[in-house]
Amino acid sequence: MMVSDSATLLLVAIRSGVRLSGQIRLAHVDATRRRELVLPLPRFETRTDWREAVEFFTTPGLGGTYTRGQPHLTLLLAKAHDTTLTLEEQVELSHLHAEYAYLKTTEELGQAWADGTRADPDELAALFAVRQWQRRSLDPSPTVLQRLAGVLWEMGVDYANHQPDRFQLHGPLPRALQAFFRGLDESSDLPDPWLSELVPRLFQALTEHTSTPRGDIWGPRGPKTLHQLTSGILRVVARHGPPTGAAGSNPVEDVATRDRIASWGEHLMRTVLRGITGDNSNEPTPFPLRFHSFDSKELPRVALDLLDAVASDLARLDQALGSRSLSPLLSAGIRLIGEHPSFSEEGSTGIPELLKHLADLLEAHPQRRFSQLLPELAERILRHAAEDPVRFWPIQTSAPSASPLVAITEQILTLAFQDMTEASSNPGFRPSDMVAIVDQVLTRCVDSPEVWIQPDGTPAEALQLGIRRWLALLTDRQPGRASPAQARRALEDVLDAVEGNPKPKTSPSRPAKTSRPKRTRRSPQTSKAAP
Amino acid sequence: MKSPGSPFSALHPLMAPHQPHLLAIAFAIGALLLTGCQSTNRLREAQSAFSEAARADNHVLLAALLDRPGSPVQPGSGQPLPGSAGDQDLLSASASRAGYAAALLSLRQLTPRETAQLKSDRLWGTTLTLRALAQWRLGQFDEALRTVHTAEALPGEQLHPRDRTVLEILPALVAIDHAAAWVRTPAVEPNRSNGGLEIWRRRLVSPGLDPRSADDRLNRVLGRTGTEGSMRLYLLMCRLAAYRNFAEIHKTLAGTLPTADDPARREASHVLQDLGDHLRQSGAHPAALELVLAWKNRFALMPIPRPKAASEE
Repeated sequence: MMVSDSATLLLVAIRSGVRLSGQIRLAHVDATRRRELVLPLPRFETRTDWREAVEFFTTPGLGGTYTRGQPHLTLLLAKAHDTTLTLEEQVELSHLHAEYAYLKTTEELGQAWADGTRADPDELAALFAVRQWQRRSLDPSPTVLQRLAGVLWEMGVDYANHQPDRFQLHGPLPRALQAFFRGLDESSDLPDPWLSELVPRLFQALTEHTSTPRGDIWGPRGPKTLHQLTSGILRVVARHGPPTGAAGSNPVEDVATRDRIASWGEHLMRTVLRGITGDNSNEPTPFPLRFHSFDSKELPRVALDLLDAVASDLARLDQALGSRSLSPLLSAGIRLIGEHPSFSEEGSTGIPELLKHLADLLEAHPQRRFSQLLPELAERILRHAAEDPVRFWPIQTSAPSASPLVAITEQILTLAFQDMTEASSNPGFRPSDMVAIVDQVLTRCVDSPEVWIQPDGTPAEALQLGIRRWLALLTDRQPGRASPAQARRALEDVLDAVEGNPKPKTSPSRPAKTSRPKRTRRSPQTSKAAP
Repeated sequence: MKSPGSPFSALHPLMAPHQPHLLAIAFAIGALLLTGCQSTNRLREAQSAFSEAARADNHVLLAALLDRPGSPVQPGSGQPLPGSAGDQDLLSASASRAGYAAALLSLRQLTPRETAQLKSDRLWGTTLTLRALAQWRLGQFDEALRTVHTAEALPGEQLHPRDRTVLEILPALVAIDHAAAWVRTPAVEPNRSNGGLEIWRRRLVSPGLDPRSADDRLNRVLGRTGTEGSMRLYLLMCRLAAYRNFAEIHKTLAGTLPTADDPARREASHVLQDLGDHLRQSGAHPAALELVLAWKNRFALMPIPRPKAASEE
């Protein structure tokens, strides 16, 4: 019975996919037909000579007033009338005309000129972009929404027939579909195959997650968020995907790249919807995402920034991030941006830049396994930065190293990698140990920034000193190597000592658990690591 | 193949057992879609290349029309005449030419199958219009006119409003460009007489003749275009361009600009007034009126409102 149901659903999906693809292709054809075309102006002579000058200065209403009190100009005009101008005088007269014509234009533009506004040739050139139909209402082709709505409706009906418990008559689905369609409608200029790659996937994700037994989980901002998310995903993937049929491109690679980006788009939609509905049953991550509602206005912004980061640097971030990282990064990013008092509505959150910066940093290490650190390091940085966003996440988003926490992470990794490269006897750190160590230090820095961070935001000397002392301690240990847990305890002691809270008896080989009265908060990871 | 860390591994739990079949079906559908869209994509590429080149060309021409002087005049210093193109403009013109050529090449490479698909998608008229435009910009005037004839013979369902308009005015655009080329070629000295001037008048600005002059053809289309949209702005500018080249030829052959009572100049004055009215009514930024003022002050062409018809009065 189960197999039979699955097979039927599969057939429904395939049939719907084929129908949808056909309509999407037609929408693509419609968009091409109605596409604007810039028409070039025919060539005409823009050079003027002394004859236009004479007309300008002698025609009433043009430049006659400029000749008053200008005996030389009057003389030139008289000579022009008598056709006795020399070649040099002809040129002079035409240049005087150019100057006065310009002056006259500025005078006549009046207020527009006083406002500092000038006609930009680029903007004027854009005025000659001509649509196929002057008004949208004259275009007989259906809109993308009209093209797709029928098929999507049929898909929904088919799906509902086989999964009736997922659809409620008065549930959130109608609102969700409306928002989804609006997002699609904004994407009418997207080239195929982007539309045909993504729309069915997004639609499937939507229908699987919009029904919930917990009632209406969409909240007042819900439809707007879903609308922004849908149109944003389509926009981001189209911006970064390989252009279809570009000269010299490899079609097989292009299809693969498109598939990867489309998969990320779908995965983002599913992750967000899963977070909204609290359905974490299929969530492979240890950080289940749960938003209380769609009310977080930062949600689409952070989500689309993450997608933008992956799509723009697919070669590195696709593998380095992986599907498990999306939930925790999204949670941490939303909290940080939501609590930041200075972020404007526009512009980057700085999260894409952070991911790329960390990827650069980890690439410097010869052991590729450390590239796995990227998502967890990023998540820790974002999470700690949310403690005091103004201090730890300054709005210089194009330069992620402006964040003290990024600079500190960079310093720890640089020193640790350097130490490993020098083949010392430090513990065999696994990537998870490195994350715990960075988290440990970041927690300290957030709790006591005056000790570890200089007023200009750069790491204090004490930090480098502490890390070096700790690494030296590990190297000097005899006999054998310290376990990662012991190494973390040793780090705790060294940091305590630098902070001025040394314990009376501290042995690197058997470090005792310390208590630091200054600390008010420990990250869960750090607390777990210290037995 | 999906990597372990890929987001795809978390997707489609329902379909996981069928994944190999599903992938095969998906590839088959994808291949079908690619075939169907290739022709459309080729046309889109050509549209993009053409629009990009046209935008650059318009920029150069409008910058020369606005002619903002950058430095004080030094009489007799061998400066180029006002409104001359600079070195950068020449480079830009060269890039535009490459853009038109790329568009034309893309359309020439259409296979019979793609052509059939474009016809079936009712995009063939759009394709031929674009081809004619590219040929015109590349100076292939005869080929452009031949393409226009071919396109005009297409069934009505293939021709859409903008394309139909473009095809109708393209002979006028060719005539204007032809005149511009004549003006710019100093070595050409044919018919430098009153007879020659009359021929150019008939080609460029005379109303009611057969064959129609460029301006008459543009005016006829303008009458049908209505009062809104970029097409109206474009047609008005084309009419002014026709007059401007005629005035330049007048200077060459008769030694002077057309006089104020010359019918061509009078009509151009009305067109300039129409241009200003259009910009004001269409809600263009006030600074766009600099376009009208440049025509007026640089080419000494006064905008004059059209006399009202008796019925209107």
